[in-house]
Amino acid sequence: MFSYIKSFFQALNANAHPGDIAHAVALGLLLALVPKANLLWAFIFFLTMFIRVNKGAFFLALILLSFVTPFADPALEAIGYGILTFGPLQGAYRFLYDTPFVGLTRFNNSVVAGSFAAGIVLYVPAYLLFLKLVTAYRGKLQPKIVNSKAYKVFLNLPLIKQIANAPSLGGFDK
Amino acid sequence: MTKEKTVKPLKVKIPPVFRKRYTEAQYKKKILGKLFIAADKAFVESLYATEMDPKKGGTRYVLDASLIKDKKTMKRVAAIGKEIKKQKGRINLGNVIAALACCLVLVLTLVVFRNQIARAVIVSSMQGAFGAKCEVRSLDVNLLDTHFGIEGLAQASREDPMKNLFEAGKIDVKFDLLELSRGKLVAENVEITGVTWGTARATSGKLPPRAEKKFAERQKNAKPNPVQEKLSAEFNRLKSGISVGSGISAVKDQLDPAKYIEQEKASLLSPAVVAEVQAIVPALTDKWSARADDARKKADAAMADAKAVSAIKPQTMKTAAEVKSALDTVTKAADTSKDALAFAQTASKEIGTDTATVRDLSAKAEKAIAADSARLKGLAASVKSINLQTGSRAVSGLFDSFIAGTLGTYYPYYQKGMSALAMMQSSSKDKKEKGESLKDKANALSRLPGRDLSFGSGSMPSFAMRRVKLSAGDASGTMSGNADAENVTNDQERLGAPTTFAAAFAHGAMSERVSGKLDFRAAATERVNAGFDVGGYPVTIPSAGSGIPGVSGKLGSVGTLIVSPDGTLVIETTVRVKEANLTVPAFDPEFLHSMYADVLSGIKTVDLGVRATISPAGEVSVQVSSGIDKVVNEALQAGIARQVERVKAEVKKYAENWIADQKKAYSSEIAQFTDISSKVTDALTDAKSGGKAIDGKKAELEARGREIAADAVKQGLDKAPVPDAVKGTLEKLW
Repeated sequence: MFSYIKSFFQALNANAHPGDIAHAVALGLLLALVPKANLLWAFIFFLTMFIRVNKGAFFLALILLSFVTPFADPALEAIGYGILTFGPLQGAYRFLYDTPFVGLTRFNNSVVAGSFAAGIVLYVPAYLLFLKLVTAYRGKLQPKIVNSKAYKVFLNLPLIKQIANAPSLGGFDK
Repeated sequence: MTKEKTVKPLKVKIPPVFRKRYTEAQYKKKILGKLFIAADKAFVESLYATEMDPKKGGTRYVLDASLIKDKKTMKRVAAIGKEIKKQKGRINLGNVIAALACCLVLVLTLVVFRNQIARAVIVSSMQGAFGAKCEVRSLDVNLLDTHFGIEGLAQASREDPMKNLFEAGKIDVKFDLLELSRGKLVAENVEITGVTWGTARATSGKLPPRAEKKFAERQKNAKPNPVQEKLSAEFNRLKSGISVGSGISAVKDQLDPAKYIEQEKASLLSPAVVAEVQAIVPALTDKWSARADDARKKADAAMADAKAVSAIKPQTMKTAAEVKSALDTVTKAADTSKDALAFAQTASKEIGTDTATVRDLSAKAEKAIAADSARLKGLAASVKSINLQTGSRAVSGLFDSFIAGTLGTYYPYYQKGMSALAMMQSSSKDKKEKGESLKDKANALSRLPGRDLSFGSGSMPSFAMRRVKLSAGDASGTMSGNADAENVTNDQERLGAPTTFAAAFAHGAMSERVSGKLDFRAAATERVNAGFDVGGYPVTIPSAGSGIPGVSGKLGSVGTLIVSPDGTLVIETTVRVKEANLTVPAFDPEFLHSMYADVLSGIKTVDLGVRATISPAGEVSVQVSSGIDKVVNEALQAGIARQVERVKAEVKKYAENWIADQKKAYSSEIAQFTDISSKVTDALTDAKSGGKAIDGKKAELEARGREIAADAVKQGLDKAPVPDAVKGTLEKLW
């Protein structure tokens, strides 16, 4: 966890592409929304591992948002049910359902479908939002923070030093 | 000479990204475009200078190394260079290759070692379930052929490790790959052939110590089912409450002469009198025994002296000295005789009171015996009939405990099976009805399960076997069987059909046929409706005690088993015991046993109607009825009625014996005392007789003495010069 936090703050305050963090948060949101224990979640998760995004931001977003998403389940279930019962798509669903191994994604589950759709729809706004936020932070807030005395004291706190010295993410954070 | 301090020139290391010369566009894209911190951007811009491109012309951007004058600046340049270098394409090709390699290795491992993995999973599961070793000879998992096969599966018995609990020669499953890819196990055909059980093993099936310990711990931690415990207690109560002997015991009481006497004992007089005699007379006997012996001894001594005295012949005595000596002897004997007489007289006088007491007791006892004898004769005459009404379930009652015991043994298995089947049914309705589990409640952040929608016609449950065929049989042909089941599933609602099954097995003389359906759907009116027909089971119900019959034979049963949606189990069946052999252990009276045994031996078939109901709460009701009880009772009643005269005679004979025993009990005591009393009386008589004889002899001696004295005087006078007148006077004195 410390390494995720360290990685995230390092990226935030370095010349990492803002898209790295924005994509990471958007993917974290998508995976936090989609219920686990199905092939779809596993697929997106492994996809994330192959994409150059900030893994610290990704895991932080995934963990923190996972505490929140269950509260959205009733709405997601309703959305998913609506999508799965949407007439024009029935042929596509039938094709998918009859395709070997696609069933393991549990796309036919109302919560999985609803959360996946919500995740995809929210991906772009979340990406853009965090892109803006990171840019704004770096442009306006970061110089002030870096030059403040409080920041320098903060950097010298034992816990922060410990986080700064935390082991790396085994290459995934590169 | 002082040495001047020399400053080492800074060796500037520039990151590769800053060594290149860039056109303006390149500079903006590759350098400035990758700097997102305003301060860093300004810093890098401050280091770059422009120059003319000597070949192409135009402006080129190049980092001016001379501007890096200290280590701090150089480090900052190096850090920024690293950050720029990190910014590559979005796809991490290295990770992709590594992941693909991992996937390939995983797939290859699964493909190459699929059989080993499946074998390990099956063996581990079976050993965990049965607590003994499991072996699989060969196994083949073929995804492409959608086939899964096992050959030579042998599951050892935990109770007897040198035997197999069961063996399956071949298990063949043709599964649906598409459904499997949906995470569902759907098989059109499942064939299990060559099932045998109880076969011998070459090696022990005992688990290794570590696995054994693990299994034992799991068993120990298994919580007992409270309903099952209640049921067990209910079955035990039923079994203990059944007493088929009560009826015949009551009849036995009516036929047992001793019981008649027992019932009359309170009204009989002799037991009390006999007890009185036995309490008083032996004490008196003891009291007088020694004195009677003494009296006898003294009388005997007196008699001996009298005998000795009677041998003295006074007439043969010639001298006064002889007479005197004899007289001394006689006087001494007379003293002994007097002493014996006095002792005997005193004893006789004193024993007289006790003798009178004993005589009174004897008379009283004789009177009581006479009265009791008359009463018991009347009792024997009063036996008119014998009633058998309490023994109305003599035969069917035997099966109460047998059926309760059988249900108690097998019901836990049924309950486990039904629980497993009910748990298998995973319809969403059931889940809603069940509500949140403890785990769900503990995990407040768990996700909603949602609804699984199906598309097209292939809406199958996650576990379904369309047709299951099982055949069993051993090489010797003594055992064979087959079973078919259709629509075995964990979601009958989704499948839209109940599970149906039919099985037939034969082993030795035994056979079982069962067929029916299991319907766990919400609209079902019966969860289980099964018919069964079993036969050839050797059954032995041993006698539970005196007067209670035992039965052996071959049991068969045809009936139905119905489970209602609330879980109530109702079994209705007709049970037939063929080649029945009903026996009853010997009991008294012998004629009753003989008659009962005759009636029972005539029964070769026992037909019973059984209805057992077990509620989900564990309330058990077992009703066993049979017409055989009526037949037995009537035969027994008729036989017993014919025995009334015999019973009368038995009672009379028993009463006479009893009276004789009573007489014997008191008369021996009386006789002993009478002997003592007679001894004293005889001693007195003998003492008197001896005394009389001695007195007579004494008189004879005295007379002889006088004669001798007179003769002596006469002879002296004849010789002495004594005038005749004096002589005459003297002679007259003698």
